Amino acid sequence: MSKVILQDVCKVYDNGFKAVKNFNLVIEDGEFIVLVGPSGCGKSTTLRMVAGLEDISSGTIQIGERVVNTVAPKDRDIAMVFQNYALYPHMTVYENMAFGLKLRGYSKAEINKRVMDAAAVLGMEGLLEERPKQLSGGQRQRVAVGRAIVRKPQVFLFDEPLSNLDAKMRVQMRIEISRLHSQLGTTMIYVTHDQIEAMTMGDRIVIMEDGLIQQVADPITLYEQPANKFIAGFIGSPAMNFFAGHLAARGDALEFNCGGFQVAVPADMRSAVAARRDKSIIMGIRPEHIGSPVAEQDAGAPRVPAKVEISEPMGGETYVYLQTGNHNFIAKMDPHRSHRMGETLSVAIMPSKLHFFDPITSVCLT
Amino acid sequence: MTEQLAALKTADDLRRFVKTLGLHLLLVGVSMTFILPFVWMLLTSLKPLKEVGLENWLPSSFQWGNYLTVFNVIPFSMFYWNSIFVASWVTFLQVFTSSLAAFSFSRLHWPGRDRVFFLYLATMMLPGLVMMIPNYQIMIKLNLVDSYAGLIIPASFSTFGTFLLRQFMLTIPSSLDEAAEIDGASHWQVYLNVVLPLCRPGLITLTIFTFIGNYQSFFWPLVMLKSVHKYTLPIGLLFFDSSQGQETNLLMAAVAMSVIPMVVLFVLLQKHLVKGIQLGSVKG
Repeated sequence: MSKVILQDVCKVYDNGFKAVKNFNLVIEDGEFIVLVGPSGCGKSTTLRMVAGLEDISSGTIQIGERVVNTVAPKDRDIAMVFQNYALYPHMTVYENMAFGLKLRGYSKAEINKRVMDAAAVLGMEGLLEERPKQLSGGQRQRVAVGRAIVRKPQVFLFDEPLSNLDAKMRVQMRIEISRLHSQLGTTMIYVTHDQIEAMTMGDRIVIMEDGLIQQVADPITLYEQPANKFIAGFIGSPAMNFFAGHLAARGDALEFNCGGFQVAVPADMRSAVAARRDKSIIMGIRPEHIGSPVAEQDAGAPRVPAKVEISEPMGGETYVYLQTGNHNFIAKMDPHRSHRMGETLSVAIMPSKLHFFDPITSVCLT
Repeated sequence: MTEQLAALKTADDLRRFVKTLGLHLLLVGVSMTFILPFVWMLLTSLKPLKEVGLENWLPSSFQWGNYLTVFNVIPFSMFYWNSIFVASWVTFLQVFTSSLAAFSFSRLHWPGRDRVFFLYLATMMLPGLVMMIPNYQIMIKLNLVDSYAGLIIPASFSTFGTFLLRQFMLTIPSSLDEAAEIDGASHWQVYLNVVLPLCRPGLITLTIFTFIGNYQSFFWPLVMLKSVHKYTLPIGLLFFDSSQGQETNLLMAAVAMSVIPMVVLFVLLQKHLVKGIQLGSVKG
């Protein structure tokens, strides 16, 4: 049983800085959970508290049946993969992977079996006599993962393991780690600042900002129902477009007006935003829901007049950077249509995909 | 145009040649100031006594027997062994204690660590001669005067050594310690299996400096030792001074033989010394 429970966990440094505030999370046995957020949000600190590399200021951390607050890292039955691999440079790949087992008194036969099994899983059989400096970044990371696998821990911890790799290797290693999780079924806690890694790898994602959990959800829920403006802007690439405007009443209906254009608030969203009637509000819409072929199919869709600033053809779609009034936004448009810089056009919006945010609290109202 | 370019190329080559030649001449000149005394020492060791101090550097006849005579005039092999014995023990203990202290100052976190380190470093400001009398008084109280332990123990701890190795250890990422901790290593195992092997250049540098420094040590052994059979080489060489005057040729022969361990050590470990001096200068 390798459930991990964090209850009211806080981390306050000596200078009074609160890195993690009231962190509450239950990670189920075998789950792949991703902690994601901008630099300094407390995700690595949280991971290090689970590992035992940082003291906990308050709260409890439970791994399996045990509260591990005062348990040494080596006794928590965890294994960790570091951002800079942390391979022992003076040891061969085999020795790196065997080191932990040797310290724990495993027999030579058992050590050899585990190392060879892990090497086979990661396709590293031919590298066992090499030293880390002779390996590429991806190979080193695989050795770091192999060093964790041989321990057969209850929980794997990953601290931004792909940050030092190039883009192509990152994609490859992402797939390998996901495959590993399917194979081993062990609980994994993965920290990253990359929202693409978070979206593609996690069963659930924990988004953090300023030491606080903003939202915990599966990737699709997080994408379609962000709890606040920060999450809406953090998840998704390109990021969600935001328009600051005003909510005006039009009879029974409500209309969003930001100067450059007006959009009627869909009927099913009216009650949620009613409190902001005649007040300022922020409207959000993702690039694929504005100007896209799907959006353009709806003849009755509201339209936004805009001027083209730049167009980036990506092959499968074109990112068009547009301006309307004081707002700049991005639309994912038909790749077969070309757009000149300075061209004026109007792009359709999908009203069902609108999000409205309180401008003061940033909470998503819809 | 082509001829003009060719001429320019030649002028450039000439300039480069003159510059290189000048640099080499300068380096040869500076090297001579280091090598010539050594050459003089070797040649004097092969002279008969009456030719020592004369203008001609070369002996009229090479007295190879001087090297054997040294062993007959003084208990040279005993002094030799004493020097190597004491210097080896001091080197081993100093490297060991310095590495432990450096590990504590660089890898462990305890209250007041950095303040204590700077206070420890401040002791380097005290001249050795100033510390000699209080150290001697401590040796008297511990009953260690005229003993090998009295030579070895006070020299077994080194602020410089701690500082040098601490600088090395600071270049080792702390994530290695953390990885080892998670793997199941205690502080001692992290020190022994992870940090120490990575400090090899620093350890070798300290070994060379400590061995050579202690091997040549004169004043402290002179103060501490009373028994002739415990004398180290620098004190033993004083025996070549007699009421009849100094047997300089034999003295030079003894000195030539005494430098052999230092030369051997340096030749074997010099590439690590260069790397050690470079790497140790990274961050503080």
